[in-house]
Amino acid sequence: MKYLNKKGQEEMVGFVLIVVIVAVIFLVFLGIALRQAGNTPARESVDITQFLESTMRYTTGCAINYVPAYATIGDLIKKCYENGESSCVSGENVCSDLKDELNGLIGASWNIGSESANKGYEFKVVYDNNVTKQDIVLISGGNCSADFTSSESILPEYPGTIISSFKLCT
Amino acid sequence: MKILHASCSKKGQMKIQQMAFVLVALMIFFVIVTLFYFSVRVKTLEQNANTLKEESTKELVRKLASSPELSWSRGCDNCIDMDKAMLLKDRKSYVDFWNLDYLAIEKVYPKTSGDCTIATYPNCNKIIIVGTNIGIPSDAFVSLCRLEGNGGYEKCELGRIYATGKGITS
Repeated sequence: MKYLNKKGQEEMVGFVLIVVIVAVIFLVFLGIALRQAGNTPARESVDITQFLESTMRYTTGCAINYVPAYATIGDLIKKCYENGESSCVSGENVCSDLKDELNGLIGASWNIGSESANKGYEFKVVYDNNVTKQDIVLISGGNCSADFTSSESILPEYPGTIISSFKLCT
Repeated sequence: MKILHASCSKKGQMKIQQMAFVLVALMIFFVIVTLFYFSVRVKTLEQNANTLKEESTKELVRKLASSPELSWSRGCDNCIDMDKAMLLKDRKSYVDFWNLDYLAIEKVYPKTSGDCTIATYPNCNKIIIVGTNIGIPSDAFVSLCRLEGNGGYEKCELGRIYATGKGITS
């Protein structure tokens, strides 16, 4: 009787061991899978890259020196970084004109809203010289807390660069 | 003695059966987990493949903008010369040139409406160069440039190029 009891206990221990091993394997597997998912960088989108490149060349209605030398979005970004108080020939502030144009471009190009696939956006322009970072423009709208795709466009501005990034949240 | 032996043998058989069931259950569990994992992986791979294919098609569509027949000659790869596009419109000799069923250029911003004709250009929205639209065309953002005004200054707007057909199948 004693022998039979011991055998039963041994089997139970064996069974528990198997369950524990299976659970450990499953947890390791789950951990690796979750870590891989967590390390996935933000997706770069060709569409957004193309949008940014084309946006930088867009001719605005703001002439900085004389009419008809109208500035592109890229020119306005540089001007806005160099002197935020500068204005167009028409008298409008360069930075506010830049924001207006960017809002118009984004609104016309992307369907953004709570009912649409794109829930929100963020357009950010930053000057970076590897020592300091300075925000130049920040435009955002909608809900941008979840998953997103993004891309960057770089303008040289010695001794650093001006990085324009557009983030589209899904 | 005989009775005890028979009872032990039956108990042993039961134990072997139990073990066999546990092993079978474990095998089934592992198979289900593996199947689940691979189905998720395959789905992700399919999604990635579709995204890559879509993006390469977009790049191919955008390459059309840099063909000499459409490209803007002032140092911009992704700019379309709208005057050239207007001249190509309705030219029968270009229907088979790109091996496309449909090729059109649309102004995104500033917003305008109507198909482009000699009378409405440049205050129009769309230039259809080849064919009629069949299915969902691939599209890419481009800059639509032209010389504007008496001084002939460069004006670039934001647009999209649409194409379908064998010429852009990757």
